Amino acid sequence: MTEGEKIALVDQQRLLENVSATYRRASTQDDWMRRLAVRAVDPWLRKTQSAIEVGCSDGLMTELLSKKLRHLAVVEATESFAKLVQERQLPNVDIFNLMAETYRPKSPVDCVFLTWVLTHIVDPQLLLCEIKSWLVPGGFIYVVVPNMRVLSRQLALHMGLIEDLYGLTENDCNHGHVRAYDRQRLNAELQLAGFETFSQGGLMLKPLADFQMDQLYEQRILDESHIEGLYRLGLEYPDFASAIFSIAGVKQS
Amino acid sequence: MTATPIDPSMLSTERAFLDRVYKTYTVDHSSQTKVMRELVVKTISPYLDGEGYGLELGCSDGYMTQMLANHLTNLDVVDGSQSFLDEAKKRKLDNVNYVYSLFEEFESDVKYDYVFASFIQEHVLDPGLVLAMIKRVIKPNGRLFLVVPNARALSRQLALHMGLIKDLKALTENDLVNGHRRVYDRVCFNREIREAGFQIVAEGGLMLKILADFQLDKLIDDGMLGPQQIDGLYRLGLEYPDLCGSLFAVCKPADD
Repeated sequence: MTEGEKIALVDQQRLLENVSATYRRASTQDDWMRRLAVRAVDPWLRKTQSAIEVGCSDGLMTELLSKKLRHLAVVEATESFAKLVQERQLPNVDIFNLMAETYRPKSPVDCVFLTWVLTHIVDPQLLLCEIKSWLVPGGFIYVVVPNMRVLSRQLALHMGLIEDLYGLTENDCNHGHVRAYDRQRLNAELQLAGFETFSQGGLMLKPLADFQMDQLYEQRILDESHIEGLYRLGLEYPDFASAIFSIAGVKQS
Repeated sequence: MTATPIDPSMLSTERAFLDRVYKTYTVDHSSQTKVMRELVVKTISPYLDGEGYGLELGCSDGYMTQMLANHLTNLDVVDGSQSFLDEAKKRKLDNVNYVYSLFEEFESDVKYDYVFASFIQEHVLDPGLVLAMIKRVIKPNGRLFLVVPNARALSRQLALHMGLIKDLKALTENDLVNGHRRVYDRVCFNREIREAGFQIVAEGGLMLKILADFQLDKLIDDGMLGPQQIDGLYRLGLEYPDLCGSLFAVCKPADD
C-alpha cells in the first residue's frame, strides 16, 4: 500500500466514524433488507464453515449469520459499531476494530460477506484483491450493494428529485457512499478483481423511498405478506430491486 | 372477446342487469380513479384541437365528460344506466347531449371526429359489438381513444407473487366488484382493436401502478402520494408501459 493510499484510508475511517454516529436509525425497511440478504445467501451456508464479515453496522446480520456458521470474524472500521456487536455477546464471533484493507486473517475462511460495504470503500479493487487471499480454495464472497436502478430511484429521477440515476445524491454522500452500482458495474468490478460470479439477483422490488416504506409498515398498509411478495417480485425483476447481490469465487486461471 | 355474435335477447338481459346494478352502484369517487381519469385526458388532449364532435361511451359521474367537453364543440354521451346519466347531467354542461342506450344498440346520424371508450371494454358483454358500433359512427379520419386496465400492472404482479390471484388474467375480487368481465394485456388489447378494423396510431401505459387501488387511495388521501409523485409515476409509466395500471391506444379506422 502506498503512502497516498494509507492517508486515504485514514480519511475514510474518520468519515465512517463520523457518519456511523447518525447513520443507523431504526428503519423497518433497512432491517428487512438485511434479513432478506441473509435469506438469499442461506442455501450457501453450512454449520461447518468459517467466515469473515466486513462491516457489521449494528450487528443484526452478524447475529443471523453467526447462527448458520461455525465461526465468524467481524472486521469493522468504526468503534461505535464494533461496540454494538460486542454487546450482542455472540459466542462464535470475534470482532476486529480496524479497516478491512489492513486486516489479515490467521487462517483462510470459507466465505467473506461484503454487504452494503463496497459503496463505502475508497478503492474496492484493493480490498477485493486482498480478500482473494482470505479465502480457502473453493471459498466464495457474498456481495450486496444498493442498486442505482431500484424502482424508487427511477421514480425520484422522473420526479426531478435526482438529476441522474448514476449520480451520488447528497444523502449518498452523507452516508459515506463514494460510488454507486448497477448490475453491469458490479459484475465488472468483481471480474476485474479476478472473481467469477456463480449466482446473482436482486433483493426486494422497492417502489418507494425507505422513509415512505417505513411509514407504510407503520400504518400497516404493507405487512409481511407484501414484503414476501416484493421479495419474490425482486427475483423476477432484479433491475428494480433495492439491492443487488453476487455470490462469486476466485476465478481459476 | 367471444367470436360468435350475441343473441339479441342477451342485450335485453344486459339492459335489465345494468338498470339493476347501477341503480345502487355508488359512483366511484376514489382518489385513484379520479387521478386515472385526469391522466387519460392529459394523455389524449394533444390529439384534440379544441373543436369537433365527440362521442363518449359511459359517463359514470361525468367527471371525465366535463374535462372532455372543454376540448370539443359538441359531445354526445351514451350510457346504459339512467342513474349515471342523471348524475352527469347535474354538471350542466351546455355542449353535451345525453343518450340513454346500450352501446351495442347506439345509432346516430352524426359521424364523429372523436370517440372515447375509456374503461369500457372490460365491462361489456362483447367488446367486438361495441367496436363495430364505433366503426359505424366514426368519421373515416376520426380518432378513437381506448383505455383498459392492464393485467400486467405491477400491483397485479405483486398480488400474483403474494398468492392473492392465481393468474395475471384471473379476475380479482376487486375486478368482480367493479363489474369487470375480462382483463387485457397489450397483446390481446391490440389484437381486439385490429380485428375490429382499427389501426393503432399511438399506444402506451397510464401510471406505473405500484399498489392496489385501496392502498393507493389511502396514500393519496394521506398525502404521501401528492401531485409530484403522481406525475413521477405517470412519467415512469411512459418508460415502463408494461407495469402500468392501464393501457391506452389511440386508433383510427383502418384503410380497407
